[in-house]
Amino acid sequence: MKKKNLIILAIMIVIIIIGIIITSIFGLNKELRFKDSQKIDIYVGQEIDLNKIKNIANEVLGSPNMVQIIEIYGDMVTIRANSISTEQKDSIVNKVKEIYEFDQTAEETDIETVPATRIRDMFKKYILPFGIAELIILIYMTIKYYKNGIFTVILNTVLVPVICELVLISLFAITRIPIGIYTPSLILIVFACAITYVVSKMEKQQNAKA
Amino acid sequence: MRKVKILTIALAIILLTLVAFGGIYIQTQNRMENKVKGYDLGREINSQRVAELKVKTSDNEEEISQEDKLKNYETVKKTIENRLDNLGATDYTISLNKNDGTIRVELPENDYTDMYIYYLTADSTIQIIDKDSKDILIDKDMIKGAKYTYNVNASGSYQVYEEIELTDEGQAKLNEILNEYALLQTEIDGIEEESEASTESTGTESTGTENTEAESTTTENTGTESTGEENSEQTKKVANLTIDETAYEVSKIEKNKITIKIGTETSNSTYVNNYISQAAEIAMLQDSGKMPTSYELYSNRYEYSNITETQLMYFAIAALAVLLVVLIVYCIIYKVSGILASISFIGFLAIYSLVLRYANVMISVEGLCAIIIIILINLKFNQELLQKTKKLNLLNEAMKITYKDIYLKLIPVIILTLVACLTKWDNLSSFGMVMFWGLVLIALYNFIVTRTFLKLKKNK
Repeated sequence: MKKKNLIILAIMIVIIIIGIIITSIFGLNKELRFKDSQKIDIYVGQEIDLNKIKNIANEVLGSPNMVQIIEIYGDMVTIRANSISTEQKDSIVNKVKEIYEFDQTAEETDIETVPATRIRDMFKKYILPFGIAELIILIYMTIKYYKNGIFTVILNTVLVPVICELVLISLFAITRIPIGIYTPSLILIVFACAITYVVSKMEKQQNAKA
Repeated sequence: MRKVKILTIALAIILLTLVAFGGIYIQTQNRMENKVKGYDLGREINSQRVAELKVKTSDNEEEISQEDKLKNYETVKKTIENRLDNLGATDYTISLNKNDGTIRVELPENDYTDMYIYYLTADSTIQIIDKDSKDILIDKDMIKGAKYTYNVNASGSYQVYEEIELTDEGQAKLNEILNEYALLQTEIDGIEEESEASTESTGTESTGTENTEAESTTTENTGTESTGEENSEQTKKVANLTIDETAYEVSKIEKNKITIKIGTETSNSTYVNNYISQAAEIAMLQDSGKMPTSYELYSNRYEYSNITETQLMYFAIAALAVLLVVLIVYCIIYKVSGILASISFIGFLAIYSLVLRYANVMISVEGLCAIIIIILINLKFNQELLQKTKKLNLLNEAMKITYKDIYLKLIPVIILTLVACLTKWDNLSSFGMVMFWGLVLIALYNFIVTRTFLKLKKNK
């Protein structure tokens, strides 16, 4: 293995180790929509300008918060944050009342708890398709590049994507970037890039041998 | 002539781009309506249904320990997941509040959403009970599962059956109660017939004024007059198999299996379909698992995505800006060929966006990621083609090598794409479909349009 590649591999392993340590201590950070959180629903009874409500939520609750329009006619809004105190709830409802006229009072508004979604529930549906795809790719790579040595091919096809994915997840853990709806897409991109890199490498090796 | 051809293709591309990104507006009932189909967006980008299920309060709630409660909540969550899987709802998110057992289910909004929500809390309790005292002889915990079958006779009449599987404990209990109870319909009919016959005979023997009194006494008398075997039959009590308190006829009892009739034998297709649906529903609910805690639907709301159209627009503008820079670089490096390839690239984007809409491809977040991958692959394809054309000065040869190089490297990605296409889960199948159409379009479009452009330029 070249010195440059060894250095890259060493850096990756260090990142993975740090990632594992941080994950085991603090866990992974999740997007608000997947976290244990609290919400209030306000029935405004007319078309809502989401940006105005978002500004109120930012002002009262700070970040992160999530404002969503609910119900088919878009006349109700739900505001979600890690936690909402009674004062914050009252303040939000009163501020929204300054913009829109509606009957619901702060006292009538309940703070409800929204349960968290487990990370394994978020990702479990990816496991089987990924496993099948990886198996078929492995068979293809072994047949196509057997001249490079079956062991080398299998090792590269399995290890490179796995290491790359681990690095990605470790980076999420280290940087505390929340795991959310964008994470599976990043995992797919990293997998596609990693496997394409392995093919290029194998192709080069085969051409060099030929 | 070649200039005219190039200009014609370029104008066609501009037209396509205008149609794809601007639309075709036609006046319909005093308003302008875009006749170009819109995108089919996934639930994270568009909207979803959110159902909240809460535990039904019961009197014996306090008797259960917190640990058992949590176990029950988890079982219910698993059962709901199984039900949704069995119903074919592949794209959902479930979360559980371990403190109070509240379950939140997020589902995509479509024609089946209401049905899925109905089955989240639907109950189907199978029991065997004493017909008279209503005592439960075999409860729902002794039922392992159910499946439905049907028979067709020579006259074309259908009879739908439900085969109820028992646990070992259930079978042992069944063996025990069969000594004391009649469960098979034929057996019950026999008892009822005998009972009717004895009542009739009592009627003829009795004087009429003391009818009630005489009935009971003569029943006893008939009992003493019967043979030993008849006596044992008559002393058997009647048990009923009920599903949600409705009694069904038991047609067969085998080892660990009780077969019941669903509906009556009929050749009317509407009735047959109804009976099959009913049987399938029972089977699905039984096979999905138990609901140790009863839940009720607390809220059922339509929720718009928190990703707004403005955010998506900003994202698209940012991506287009980056793309524009890359295309300008192509124009600078490869001059006229670069300009032509860039025009061709814009046409590709236009056609791609139309293909995704008319092929009914759902765009989820993973689908958006696939669009980015496809744009990157096409950029790489164009760059390799331009580079090789410049180097080899032989367009067809350059084309061949580029196809070979790019698609050979992409075989594992193609495998991933095909596997993703075949999955039932919306998010991943969206990735697969977007990738599939993108890869097909890159191959066809570049062969037809980009190659023609470069060929015309080369001849010039």
